[in-house]
Formats: sequence, C-alpha cells, structure tokens
Amino acid sequence: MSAIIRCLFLPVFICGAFGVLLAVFRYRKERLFMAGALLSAGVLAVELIARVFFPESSRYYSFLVFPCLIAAAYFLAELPRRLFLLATVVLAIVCLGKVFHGNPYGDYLLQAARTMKSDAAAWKWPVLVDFSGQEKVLQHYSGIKVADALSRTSVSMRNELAKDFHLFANRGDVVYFIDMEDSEKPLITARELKLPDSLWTVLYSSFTNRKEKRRLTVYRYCWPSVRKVSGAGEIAEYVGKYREGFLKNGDFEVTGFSPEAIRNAEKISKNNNIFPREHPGLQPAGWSAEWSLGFSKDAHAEIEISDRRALIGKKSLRLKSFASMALQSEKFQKKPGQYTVRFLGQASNDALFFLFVYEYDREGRFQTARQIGYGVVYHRDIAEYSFPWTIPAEAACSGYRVCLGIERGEMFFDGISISPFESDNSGSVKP
Amino acid sequence: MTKTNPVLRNGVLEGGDIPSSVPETKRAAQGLGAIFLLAVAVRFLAWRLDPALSRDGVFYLDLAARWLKSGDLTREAAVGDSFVPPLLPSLLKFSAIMHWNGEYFMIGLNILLGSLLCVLIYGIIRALSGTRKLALTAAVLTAVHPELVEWSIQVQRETLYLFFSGIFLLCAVYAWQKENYLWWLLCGMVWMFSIYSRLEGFSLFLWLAAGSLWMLFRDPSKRMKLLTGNAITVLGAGITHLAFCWSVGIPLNYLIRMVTTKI
Repeated sequence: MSAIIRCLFLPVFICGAFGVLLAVFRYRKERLFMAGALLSAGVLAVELIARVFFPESSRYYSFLVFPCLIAAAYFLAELPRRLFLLATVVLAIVCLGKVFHGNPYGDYLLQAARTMKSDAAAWKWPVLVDFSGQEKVLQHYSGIKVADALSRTSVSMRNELAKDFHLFANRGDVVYFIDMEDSEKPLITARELKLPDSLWTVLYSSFTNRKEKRRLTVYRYCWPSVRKVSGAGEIAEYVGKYREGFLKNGDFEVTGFSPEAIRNAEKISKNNNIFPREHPGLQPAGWSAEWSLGFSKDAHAEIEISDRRALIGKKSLRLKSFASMALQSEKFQKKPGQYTVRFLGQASNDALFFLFVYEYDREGRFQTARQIGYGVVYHRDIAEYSFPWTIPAEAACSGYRVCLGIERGEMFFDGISISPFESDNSGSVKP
Repeated sequence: MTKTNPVLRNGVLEGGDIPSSVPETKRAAQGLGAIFLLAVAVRFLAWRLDPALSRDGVFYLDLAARWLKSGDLTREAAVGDSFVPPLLPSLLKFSAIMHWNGEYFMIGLNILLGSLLCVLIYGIIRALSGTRKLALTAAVLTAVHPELVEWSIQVQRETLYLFFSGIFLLCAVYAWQKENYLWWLLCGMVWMFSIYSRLEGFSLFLWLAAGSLWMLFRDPSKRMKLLTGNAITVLGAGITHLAFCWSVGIPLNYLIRMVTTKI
C-alpha cells in the first residue's frame, strides 16, 4: 500500500479516496461512476499483475494515476465554488512544493563524477570500484572504467578492503573507491588499511540528503607497483638497469623443455591442458608449469615463448588461460634482505595475473608460498610491474622459486628480475 | 454572419447556434492551453534543477548503444530473468542513428508527452460526459503531480506507458460511444505501444473487455458490434506488432520471450 501511496502522492491520494466515496454516494451520475468503476477494475487487474511480477517498486502502479486524478478532481469539483478554488490551489501548491522541494545535496553524484573525471585526467589507467550501487551513473558522467565484477552494495567496503585490499586495489595506476557510508562513522583512513598516507586520499565526500544519515565518499588509491613503459628508449633503460637481476632466462629468449618441465607438462595434460606437451619447442628454458596452481579442465592453458609481441629482445612469454595457471622458475638462492621483483607485462584482453615466491627449507623441501603480487590489467599498454619482497634475516631457506601466473585472459611477460630494493623504485605517485 | 436559433424537438435542442457555448469552449481551450504550458514549464524547471540521470536511465542509454553496435536486442536486453520492453531502446537507437543526444532527446520527448497527459485526461473526462470544470481540474492536477513530473524528466518508460495508456482509454471510450470501428483499431495499435513501454500494458485489454461486458449487459443488441470491435482491436495490435518488429529490427517472438521469462 505504501508503494501505491508513494506513487500517487498522499494528498492527491486522499482527495481521490474522497472522490471515490462521493461517486459511490452519488450513484445518479451513472456514466461517470461506471467509468470510475471500470477504471478501478482495470487498475485492480494491473495491481494484481504487478503484485505477482513486480512487488517491489512504486512505478508498477503508475497506471493508478489516471483513476486517482479523475477521482481527486471529481471530489474537488463537487465542493462549493470558493472552497473548490481554494482546495485546488492549495493542492496544486502542495504538489509544486513536492516537485521543487530542493535537496541541497541532490547533485552529489554529478559532483563526485566530475571530481573523479578531473582527477583522472592526470592518470593513465583510472579504474572505479563501486560499493554504492551507482557505478553506471558514475561511469556515465566520469567516463572511468568500472571494475564490474567487484561493484557491489550488499557488503561493507571497510570490511572488504580490510580483508583483501589488493584484490580490489591493484587494477590501474589509480583506483577510485566509491562507498555509500553511514555518515556517523569515520572515514576510512590510510592507517586503517596499513598504507602510506600518500597512496590513500579522500577525494570527495558528501551527504546524500537531509533525512538519511548517508554519505557518498570517493577514495583515491594510487597503485605504486605499476608504471607505463613506452618506446624502445624506456625499454632499453629498463634492460640496462635491471639486466643483472634477471632470473635465468628471465628475458624469455631461449626455448627448452627440461625433464622437470616434461614431467609437469604430463601432469597438467591429464586435465586436458595439452598445449605444452604438444608444443615442446615453444617452452621457455628454465621454467616449467606449476601444476599444483590451477590447470583445471576448463583452463585450456597455453604457455609459449612467442615472437608475436616481443617486449624485450626478440621473444617474450605468452600465457593464456580461462582459469588459474602458473609457471615456475628454477630454484635460485638469495641472501636475506629487501628486494623488488619486477617484470614487463602487456595484456591482450582483460587479464588477471599473480606472483608468488616459493620458499624451500634446508632439505630442499617446499616450505611456503608467499604471494607478493596481484593485479588486474584492463589496458593494452606495456607496463612495468614491481613488487617488494623481503627475506628476513632469520630465514633459513635453501632456495626460492618465482611463480608467475594468470587467472584469466592473455598476457605477455618479459624481463623478470629481482634486484635489491631502492627507496624510489616502487613506482612514483603523482600529487 | 447570420445566426439561427435552435429548435426544441422531443425535449432536445437541435440546429442553430448556441451563442453561450462558443465562448465557453474557447475559454476551455485557452485554459487547457495554459495548463499544458504550465505542465511544460514545471517539468522543464524540475529537470533544470535535477538534471542527473538515474541508474535506469544510464542503463537504457547504454543498452541502446550496445544494440546499435551488435544489432541484436534480444541478446543485449536480457536483464537477469527478464527482457527490457523495446520502445524506449528503439527511440534511443533512433536518436543515435540521427546523431542526436539520446539523453536530451528522450527527456525532451518525455516532457512533451508528460505535458500532453493533461490534454489526454481532459479528453477522457469530457468523453465520459464529465463537466469542463472537472476535466480542467484533473488537467491541472496532472500538470503538477509530483510523480508524473519526476517520470517526465528522466530517461524512463513510465511517461511513454502512461501516454499510450491514456490514448488507449480515450480511444476505448470513443469506441464504445461511436459507431466507428476505427476507434477499435486505434485501441489495438496504441495498446501494443503501451505494452512495448511496460509489460503491465497487457492488462489494458482486460479493462477493454470488462468495459465491453458492461456495455453488453446494458444493451445486449450490441453484442456483435462489441465482439467485432474487440476482434478488430486484437487485429490492430497484431498489425502494429508486425510493423513495429519489422521497422526496428527485432524478432517477432521478442514479445513472447518478454512475457514468458517473467512467468
């Protein structure tokens, strides 16, 4: 009933109800009464249909406007002349009051979108993650791509970010988080997310209206791990700077199919991932499929050294899959310290990659898989991705492997290196 | 100009000029014109004060763009377990083909049709033998009704639905009153447009059938005319459906899928 009243507007609805009562008592005006009765019968049918199919919205009762307006007008017209004029004018003013009842915060969505749009102009790959349910409107006015699968309203953004920040955040060089918050709660801070202050900023915040205690806030997160690399000059600079730290065949120029790689290729072929077994001449030397990470039957994973898109040198590594899959390096040793693992990447379609470091104990047995990188790539540019990795002084590992994989899509990788951490090599954040 | 007096025959005035009624009609027309302008002004001002599109509005604009790109509305218009009725996307696609701004085009059209609702409701009441006073009062209320104004300033389907439903009601009343099957045919045509706007438009035929039964109850000798009239309405709807599907390029079974997925 409240949906009907909301649709009809309460003062008009009341007048309409009086009009119906009046028409019933004045049965002598038969034709108008008949019309009213027929309209009501039709309306009843509409309402029944609406109740069955669309119970939740007031718009489904829009047809009721016709009989309601006729009945309301009938009621007003039957009043004494002076009272009729007064009542009609008052009702019209009440209606206009409702129409022009200003919400001082009414343009909050437009303002939020404009703020993001002007801020995003300084970035290369802006992405929007929405928890407010307004992602379509914000995308329309800001022109910023929405991370669709993540946009949701039924969960608390604060809790989701606290649980898995990188799942939401690593999607562009700047990510705008939109939240519809309880205005009495404090804003989400960088400290709460264990981030440097420079990476997490409140870009815009506004109440949505005077009645409800809600606030729409736009947070900006700058992902420091990604940097656009364009042109041969910048790629040569990358090679010159990090060649020493390249893993064995980290530039993916050499093909080879080691016994370990053959064994692993056999294992994944049991799930119908037969590409490496069928193309042994295209497999990267020093790397093998990490069969325990994914390679499900629906993955159709492809691993190859490809010259289709050489990021460094003449070839690069191409990974393509519809589900999780990964490639692992040969074991290597590193002394305790702070490092940066980095590589160049270019996606052919929306791709999701991840980076692990495997640790092996003194007996050479697998000990831990440590995820150090994760990202979703929506753009098609060549970018440098860099992730910090720390080996604590007390660590007693005999060796490590780097494990690079994708969860979906197609992506080219090249120049994977591990170099000592430098304070300025984690990507620069613009003001 | 010579004026003749009306003659009283069987208690009814026939022929001649009735001087007093001419200014009254003119005043009513002027009043209706003023109410229409008021409706346009109220809607335009309301839109200027709150020009932001709603979620649904953005969805429809996006849908039309996707439809134009892929050429397949059936694939693009499936939303969860339902299909979007095709009239609004068709109008937006048309505006895109004409290189017009879809948002402004649709809001402009909605403002116009929403304002014309005043004229329609006036016509319906007058056709039902209501007084001019009653009809004008209903028109004023239509001009300023908050929900009608709100629906008119958005890229939404409600104004289209109410506009075609209003025409349907007017045609239905004329169909019952006048001995002309054209009104029944028009009923069928606008009925389809009402369904293309919102699925609830289907129930309008129940309204027509209920009205016909009432007329039959009052005058059983009209049963053939009423039956033929209802059949012509269905025929008109069928012809409109074929013409619409052919002209906008949607499959004939789109309507069936639209309904069956809801059930």
